[in-house]
Amino acid sequence: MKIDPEVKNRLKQLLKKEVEQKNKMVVIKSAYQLDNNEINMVFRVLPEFSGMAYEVVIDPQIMAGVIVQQGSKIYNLSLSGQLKSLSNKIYEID
Amino acid sequence: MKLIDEYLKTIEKELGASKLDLKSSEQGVVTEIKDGVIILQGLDNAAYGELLELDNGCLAYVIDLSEENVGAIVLGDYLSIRSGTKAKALGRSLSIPVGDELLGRIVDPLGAPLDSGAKIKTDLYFPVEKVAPGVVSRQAVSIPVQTGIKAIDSLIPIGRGQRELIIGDRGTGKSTIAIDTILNQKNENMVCVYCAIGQKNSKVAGVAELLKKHNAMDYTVIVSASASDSAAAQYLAPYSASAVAEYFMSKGKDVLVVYDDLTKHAWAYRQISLILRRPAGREAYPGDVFYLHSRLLERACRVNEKHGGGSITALPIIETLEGDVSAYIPTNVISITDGQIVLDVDLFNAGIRPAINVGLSVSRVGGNAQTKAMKKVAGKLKLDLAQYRDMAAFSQFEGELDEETKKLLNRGAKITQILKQKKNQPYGLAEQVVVIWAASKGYLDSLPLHEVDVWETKLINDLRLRKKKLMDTINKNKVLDEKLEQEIGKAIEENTEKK
Repeated sequence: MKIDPEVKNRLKQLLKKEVEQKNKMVVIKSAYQLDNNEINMVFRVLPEFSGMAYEVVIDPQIMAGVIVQQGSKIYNLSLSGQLKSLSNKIYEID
Repeated sequence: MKLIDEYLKTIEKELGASKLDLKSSEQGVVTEIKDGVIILQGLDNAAYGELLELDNGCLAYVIDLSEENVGAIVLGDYLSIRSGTKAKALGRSLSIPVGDELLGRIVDPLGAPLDSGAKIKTDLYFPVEKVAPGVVSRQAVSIPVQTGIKAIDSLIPIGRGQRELIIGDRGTGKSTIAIDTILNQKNENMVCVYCAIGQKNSKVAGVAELLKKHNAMDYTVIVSASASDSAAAQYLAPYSASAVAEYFMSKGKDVLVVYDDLTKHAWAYRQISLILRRPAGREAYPGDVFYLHSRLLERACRVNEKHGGGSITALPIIETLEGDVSAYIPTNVISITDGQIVLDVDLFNAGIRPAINVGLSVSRVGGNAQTKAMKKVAGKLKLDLAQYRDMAAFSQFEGELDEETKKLLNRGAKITQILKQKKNQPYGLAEQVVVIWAASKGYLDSLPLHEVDVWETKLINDLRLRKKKLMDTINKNKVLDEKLEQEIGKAIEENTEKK
């Protein structure tokens, strides 16, 4: 299928814009629904994100704590992350 | 029980030290998987050469940054990676564990053991990719590497810190020269690193066995990425070997690194580059294939006393097809190195082993490093051989030859015979000097060609048994004076039957 280069370009730009929009958004992943108080606490610990638009995603897999992500930058403050680093450490001590 | 307690204590200590640290990391998602190469999205702030940790525990190494994607080569098993696997940037470049315990070991390019031994335990890590020492920290090559091979030590001498290419067709004895050189470093206070790139595992095992048999593993490290390993491992192997060598150099040691062979290294890099869709150039190699080898071989050096005074001597090996040294990769590496040892199929088949083509082989800096004793006997040798080559070609057309020409041809044939050497039997400096001295002084002129071999064996045995003092003097002082020459002459006459 041949796509008009003009259309392709426009589509690409649209995608880029959408990705940029998405990247600006702060995603807070937690094991259960957080209340406002808890969300404020997250922003107090990570002041660089305060004032930004955010959304909360529930993921029981992380067990406890939160994972805060903006674009490709990520703060892993979850129990699953800590367990993983523990297993890495045990492997290294060997 | 005590072991477990200790183990737990270490873990507790490790964990006690680290509190919840607010450290951000970069995360990306695998979008494409191609033979050993993955393309990721995200990782907006990843750096070239940075290490990534994938969800399945694999490590990957960033080697391509484009506008939207990041390309990385996977170190380890890439078959368990799925599209959508998350990758975390570790914020450090690839480094391998180094330490004295590497000696006698066989490791892969990441420093993990390939022999049955324990994990390399060390706190010291050296980066795999490193910029070579600059002009200020270097000094000129002045100490020789004794290869133990008569033809090389006399005609194409190699100095510590030099890069000497070994080039030839398959099966012409390239690896043998390199291995023999390692065998001869037993009492030379040198550390050797043998880097096998894309070799058969059986060959690497054979080399390790041979080195062990000659007690050469005590001072040797083998870094191996075999033909069955991924192209990524083969690509990294010589840089890892270089990092190992740099560790020993940082301890002030002289190191010899053998890269066996760089042709396969170039192939591995070509594969990676083509998968990454980099523009292909001549013979489908990418544009930076010259830099691939130049940055590796530039790490061979001799640093000055202020920087430890160690050295790295590199012996890269290149395989040619039908003796074509003007192909792309051979010419590249020839121009990078400080000389080459060219091996010839015809010579090899004619029984002249090592099959060194003396006319095409050169050593650009090694002459300064040659010992005085060797320089004295080798000077005449070069001249005689050059004249012999001219005459030998010419005399094939001429039936009648004058006395002078006959004498030259005879001398040349004897010298060619004397430069032959069986494999895995390196000669000491003094032994080489005596044998070559005999040939260049004409002691062999009256000896039939087929008896030279027997004569040499007898002489060497006699030198090793009865003339130990003379040998030690030459080995220690590394100079020939008149008195020594008289003694050598006497020793040779004793071993030459009068006709």
